[in-house]
Amino acid sequence: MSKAEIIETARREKRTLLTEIESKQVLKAAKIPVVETRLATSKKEAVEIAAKMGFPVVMKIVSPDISHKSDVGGVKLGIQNATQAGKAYSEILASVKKHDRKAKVVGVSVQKMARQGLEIIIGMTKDAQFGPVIMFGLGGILVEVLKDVSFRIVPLEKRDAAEMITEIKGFPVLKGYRGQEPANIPFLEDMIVKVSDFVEKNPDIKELDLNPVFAYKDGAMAVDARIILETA
Amino acid sequence: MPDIKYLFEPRSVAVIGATDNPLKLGHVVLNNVVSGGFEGRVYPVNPKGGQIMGLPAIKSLGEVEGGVDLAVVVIPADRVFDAIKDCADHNVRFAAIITSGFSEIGNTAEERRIVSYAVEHGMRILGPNIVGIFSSVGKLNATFAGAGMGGGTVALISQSGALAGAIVGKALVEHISFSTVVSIGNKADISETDLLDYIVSNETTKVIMMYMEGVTHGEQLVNSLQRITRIKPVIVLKSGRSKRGALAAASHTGSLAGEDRVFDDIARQSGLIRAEGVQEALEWCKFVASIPEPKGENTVIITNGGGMGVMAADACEKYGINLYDNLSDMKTTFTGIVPEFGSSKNPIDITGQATAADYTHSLDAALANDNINSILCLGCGTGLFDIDQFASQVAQEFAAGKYRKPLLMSFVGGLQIENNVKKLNDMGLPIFGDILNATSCLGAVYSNYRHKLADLDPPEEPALDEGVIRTVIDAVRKDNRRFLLANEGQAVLKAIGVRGPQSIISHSIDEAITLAEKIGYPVVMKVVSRDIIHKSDAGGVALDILNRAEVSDAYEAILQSCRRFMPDARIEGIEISEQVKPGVETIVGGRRDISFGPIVMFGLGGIYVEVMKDIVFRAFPLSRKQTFKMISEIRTYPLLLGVRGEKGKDIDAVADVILRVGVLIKRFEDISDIEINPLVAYDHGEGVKAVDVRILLSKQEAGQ
Repeated sequence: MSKAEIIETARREKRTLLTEIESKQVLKAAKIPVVETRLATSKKEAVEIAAKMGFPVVMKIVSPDISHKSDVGGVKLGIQNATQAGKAYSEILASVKKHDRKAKVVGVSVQKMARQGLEIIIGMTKDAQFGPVIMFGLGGILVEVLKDVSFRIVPLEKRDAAEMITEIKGFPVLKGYRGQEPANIPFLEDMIVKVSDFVEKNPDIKELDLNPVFAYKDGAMAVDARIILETA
Repeated sequence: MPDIKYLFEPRSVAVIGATDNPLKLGHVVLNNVVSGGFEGRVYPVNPKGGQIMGLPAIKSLGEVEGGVDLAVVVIPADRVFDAIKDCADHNVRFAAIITSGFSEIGNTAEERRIVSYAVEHGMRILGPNIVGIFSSVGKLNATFAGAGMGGGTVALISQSGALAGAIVGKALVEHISFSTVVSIGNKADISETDLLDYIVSNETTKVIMMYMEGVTHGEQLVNSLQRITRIKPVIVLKSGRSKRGALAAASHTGSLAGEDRVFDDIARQSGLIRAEGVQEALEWCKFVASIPEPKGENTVIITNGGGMGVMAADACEKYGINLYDNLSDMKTTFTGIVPEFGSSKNPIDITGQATAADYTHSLDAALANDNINSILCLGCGTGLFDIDQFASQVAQEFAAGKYRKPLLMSFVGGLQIENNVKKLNDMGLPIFGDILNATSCLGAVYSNYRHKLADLDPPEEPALDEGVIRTVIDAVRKDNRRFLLANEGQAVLKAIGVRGPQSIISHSIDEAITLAEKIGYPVVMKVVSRDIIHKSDAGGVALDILNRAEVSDAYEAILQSCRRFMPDARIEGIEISEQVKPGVETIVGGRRDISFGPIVMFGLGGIYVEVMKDIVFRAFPLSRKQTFKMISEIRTYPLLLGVRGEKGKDIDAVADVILRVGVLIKRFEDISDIEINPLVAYDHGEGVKAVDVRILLSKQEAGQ
């Protein structure tokens, strides 16, 4: 589906929240690196997608009614082969049904299990005074608690992105702290600018969250993504 | 040792280096002593003898029967030792060495020689490298600073002589005067701790101000400050915040400045109120003790300008001031005073139309409401507001003692406003030309109030097995090591009562199964062999072992792959350990700080937190309650309280470990560093687990 179609579908279904798969498709089209994620609506399809992507994979429930997927047994990590993939599909559905019989289930998302990288968050919110602002920070629970993030108003130039990255207090972590793999900073700068361009071209997006993005020595990739549209 | 009282209230004073030459410091000091109205006997000391300023000069203290209480030394550094020897040999109680040129320029040996001689002969030394000592109770001005600093209520203890002079000078301009001024310079003998007990008991002193560069005898200082700050406010200016500042301080008074973060935390623990600069410190000195003590936390801002109110609200957050938020109460209180287009929400906006009378009415209303504990009254100069009228009303009310709760003001505007602000400020009313100064001063009042409110509960020292620890230390020393090995560290942890993962070595499958069942699944199994260093490379580690079948499989597998890896490896057995469940990773440490002696440290684990330096420190004595406060001061504290629907962690157990590590570092001088990292904290009631510990012994000096 194209971006326009995805948004149109959401509008028709009176949703402002795009699913993870939809969000990633839209981002991928804008050349923002995301982990490939596809929807499987049958066990057979899940196994096929997984085999085509290459193991290990992660599978998650796709349902507009379930917000905390892991609480209902809706997430399986580290699936190693076709047998496990088939089993995981059935188990996810069974567990979700057990927890919430009325939940509408669209299917199961299959994505390649990304190698653990340094967790980063890139987001966009609309500020009452400044309009769309891009946020950058290190990821995980610490961002929430320590609020170690930087902001810039859209549109961003590369220089802005570079400043955003160096401004956070945790910057030394990105440079490779205590023998950890450093992040590729030029790549991240580029990714931030792409997000800014994407937001600028799509005024009907109200909020965007790439959380987490895994940063590596040789690149970076959004592992999870969420897009909220403006109310029509 | 002599009673410190006679340093401040000597019955007799000798000035060594006194001279008639008005260009010499010795002359200035003698002149200050005499013209300062000192009532005891005064002895100029000069080898030439004769008469100095009309007083008969002596050549040696031996000429004074019974000695003198205070000798002030104002002669070149190379002659100080002989002078001190003369004093100490002839029953002098205190010597204040004004002379510089000692440890502050690296001449530490000479300073030590002087102090040792003095102390061995029962005499104490103030300085060297000081401006002198002033005491209004003692009618004593034994300084080379100017006259006229007395008659006030501020006691100043300063490590820097020149800054002491400057602070005194600036204070006089601000109509602040002193009860006591002591410059302590290099603190070669007498330090702040020796002086505080006398100063706090001195009735004319209402507030104490200290300028510090480095801390010596930190443990005694904290002990004494925890008590003293509950009696009188102690305001501190501490330099050496930055690396460069610390270096400058070190060369300035020859003191080790230590880590500023440690100082900052321990200052808070001790109840010190830390000012950023001289101006702020002086403002606090002037007002913190004279402002009535608040009876609660509710502050109300009254303003005629919305912008000013917002700025003040921001500043309140910065300085930890709580704004009153009972809307209905405030609405009732300010009804009829706040116009409809104003705001009776805090900040109370009486609008730009407010007249002097509107201000007085709103102040009356706020003063009358017992739920309002303190008031920040702000204003912008407007055409309608008659500042002269307001100021004269306020001056009358203030003089009549009408303001029984903290009422701080700030008015900003033209010359007329500035003049009135100055006039009222000079009277002693806490009014400032900037909102930030008013708010920071109220913040200081509240820091002091909260500190006094918190009970000084008894320090806690959990019991520990000293014998075991001693044995471990002895063995490590015997081995000529400073690092403790893993099993030694575990033994120490056990001796202080901190739980680590259980682990026992098995020698057969049956034994492995028995141990695993005893420890409880899941377990971790590891080969024990002095020949295999990288256990995982040899296939010598198995994680997540869930039952007896898996134990037996893993046992075989480990042996097989290790033999394949290194056929002639000596295998002592297989270690079975409890697999530590994930929780919140914290760090608890202890070390011997150059200034404060034994201190404890707490923070959250993980590299990000380490980069952010989200850690807190405490010195001793330390109570359990203070330990809880310590834990709550890290920025990541919400993680311990439980975020994203998680349960709160076992903070009680964390506090207990901090106290236990504290006792260890405090009692065993052999230990210089201990760090438990990670200490995994589980849900409330489920305790903590010390996964890894690193212990270092202190360097031994030669001959030990």
